Amino acid sequence: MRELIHFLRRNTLAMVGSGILGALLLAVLIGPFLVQSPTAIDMSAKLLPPGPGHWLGTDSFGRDMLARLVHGGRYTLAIGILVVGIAFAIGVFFGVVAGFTGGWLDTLIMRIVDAMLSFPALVLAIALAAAFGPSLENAMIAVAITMAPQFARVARSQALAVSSRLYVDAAHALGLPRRRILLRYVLINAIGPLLVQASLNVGSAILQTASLGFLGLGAQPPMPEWGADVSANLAFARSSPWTALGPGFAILLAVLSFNLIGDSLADWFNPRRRSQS
Amino acid sequence: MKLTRRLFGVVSGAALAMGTVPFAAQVAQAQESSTLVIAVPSDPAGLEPGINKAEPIGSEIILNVFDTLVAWQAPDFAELEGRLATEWSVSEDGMTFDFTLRDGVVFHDGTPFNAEAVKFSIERTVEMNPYVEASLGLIESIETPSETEVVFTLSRPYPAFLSILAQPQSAIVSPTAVGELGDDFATNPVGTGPFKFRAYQADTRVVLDANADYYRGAPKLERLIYTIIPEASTRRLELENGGVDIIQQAGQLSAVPSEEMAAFAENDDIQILESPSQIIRQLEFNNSLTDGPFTDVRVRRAIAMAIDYDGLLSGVFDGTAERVYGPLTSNSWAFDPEVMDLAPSYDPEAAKALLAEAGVDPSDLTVKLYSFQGSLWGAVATFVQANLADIGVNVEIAQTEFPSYRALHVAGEWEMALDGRQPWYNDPDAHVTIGYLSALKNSAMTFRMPENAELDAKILEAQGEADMEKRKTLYGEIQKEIVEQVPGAYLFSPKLIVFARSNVEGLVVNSAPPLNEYWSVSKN
Repeated sequence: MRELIHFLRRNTLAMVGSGILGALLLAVLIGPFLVQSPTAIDMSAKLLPPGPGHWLGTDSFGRDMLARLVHGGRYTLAIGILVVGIAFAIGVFFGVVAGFTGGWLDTLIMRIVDAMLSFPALVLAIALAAAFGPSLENAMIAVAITMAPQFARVARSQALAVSSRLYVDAAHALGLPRRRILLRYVLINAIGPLLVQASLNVGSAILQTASLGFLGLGAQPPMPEWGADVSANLAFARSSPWTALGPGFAILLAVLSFNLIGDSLADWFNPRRRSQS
Repeated sequence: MKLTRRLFGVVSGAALAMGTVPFAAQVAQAQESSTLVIAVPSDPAGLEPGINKAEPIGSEIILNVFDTLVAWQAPDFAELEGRLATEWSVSEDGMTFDFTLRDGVVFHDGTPFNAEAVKFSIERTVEMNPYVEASLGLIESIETPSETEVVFTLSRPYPAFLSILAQPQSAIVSPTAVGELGDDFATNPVGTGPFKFRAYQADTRVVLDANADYYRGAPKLERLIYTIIPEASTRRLELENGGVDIIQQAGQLSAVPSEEMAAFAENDDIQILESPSQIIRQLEFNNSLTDGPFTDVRVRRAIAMAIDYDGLLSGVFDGTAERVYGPLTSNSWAFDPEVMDLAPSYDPEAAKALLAEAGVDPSDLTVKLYSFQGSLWGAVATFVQANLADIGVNVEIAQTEFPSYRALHVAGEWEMALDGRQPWYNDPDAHVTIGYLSALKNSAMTFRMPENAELDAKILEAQGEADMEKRKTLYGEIQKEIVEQVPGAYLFSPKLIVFARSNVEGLVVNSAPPLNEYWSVSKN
């Protein structure tokens, strides 16, 4: 662990990524206590350009864009992490079981995974979100379901590789129960690349949920979710660009920070790096 | 290096040529003063009057290629004028309609227009179009005593029949052309209208040429081109560049045009034509519920009084919509001005007092507000949600995709919803009967009115009353009674907005259904 922190500290990209993420987290944790209500409308102040009083301007309902950004960030960042959490849980469970068990169960699970991966992720998410009915929770579940097969794939290949290791054979020889071997020996040792996958996916989870919000299948008004705000304010992009640029830029920053951290983690887990050092 | 640069030049030159040549051609067309180019967002979905279901673009083309027996007179649309009919009379009992037809009119294919053609066309639509079952379906017989006389007999009195005869479904087609073309008639329409059909390319364009022999005189334009441009921003750029002369606001049903309004207001090359419509958008209650807070009229009235109507019109719509007070818009001939005083007006304090009087604690009230998707509905829902939050009522917005929205609405699985109606013919019947007759509550997205023998009887009486003055009185009573019951909060009526190049003159914008007539249009 100490080694990992040391590695990340020397890695500029990782530092930039964590810096951005830290700043965003700070803004969304403290920010909401410092700004006005993100949903109270004031038609007399609509579409004001950025300036004193409204540092990022106001939208078409006279709502302060800064207030909407810091409140909405709570939703958007939580969405990214939660969606990946759900996808991780589903995908890793099925992937590890498939890789560790093998046989017909492996074939069955992986063919289902292949079938799901053959759809473009967003198209599948749109279909699921439309079927469940538009709400933020359903959009998150839809994105998580479309993301789970990726985790299943990585988890299976890791489980396959780990299962053939000597210490797993030794555990079998000792007569340990299969479930214990699966959890304590296989999963623990397969977790590295899965964490990389998870941190890289937070960004796309945010983007995809925002896309569903953009299409009207995600967050419902007046929730200040970033994707939904970009969508709602696009109509005013020509005359009042700040209304759509603010949340758009915030999404960009969040996705960028998770991707930078994920890339650095991938470097860390790269076996070639280990053999070199 | 030299080679690549040359290659680049060739490729980009070719791309430029491909991209600009059709565009340049269109600009040239538009600049010709005798050709008018209209940009529309989608394919007309049929140029066939027989199967028309009030699709906005198709209906407009049909009414420029064909004629109807009668038409509503611009600009008030309160009185009918003769088109293919010169005069008509309605029997005392309101069941027999006798038309004298215009003599000497010929179809675009040269065959003569006569009583047989009227009988043929209307009978053909009745046979082909389930959409007119409740209206043209009332015809019991069509008789043609002479070449220039046609008599319709209905199975029961239906005064809105004249209004139905002004619709695209009732356009008179050339029987000879239908016989020759068969199914191809749908893409080669032949009528008597001011413009002759010339060409149709699916999803691309429809071209109409002037009919020099038109009985009201040849149109001032020589050619009309409908060009299909799905993207709103492309349509707008084309209008600004002069590539097209008119853009339709068919998109206004899901988006607020205020951004365009602001941009075009400063542009001297573009004029904004606004006219009131008969479209009504409302927040409606599920009036058939037997329990819950909204069964109490005081609660419904309190909700209606919490909405800042003028703030909505100026804030969200920037003046592109008008106030509605009751079940009819103020430009309807049957509108009763007394409802303006009866309708709940914005007063949040009185709304809170009314809730308290009804024994409802607003903080216990959490309501789901169903709405259509699209930025306009999102904005309206957001505004209403904030208004209701001001009196302490907690509203959750659920913007729902149309098919599932319709299904849950018709099934009555809701308390409060945003909805609206665009009447497809100019008669109070189009709003009142379908919206408020309790027998029809499950037939479409309605107010789901509970059974009320007196009101139901009055609605049916007004629908069938032949004496128009009596009818107007009846509709006046119905409007007042409905407004007293507060079945919903009438939010707004969007204006019909057409953006045109400033040299376009003489456009007639029809209010119900909303479409344009180009016979009198010219370009300078």
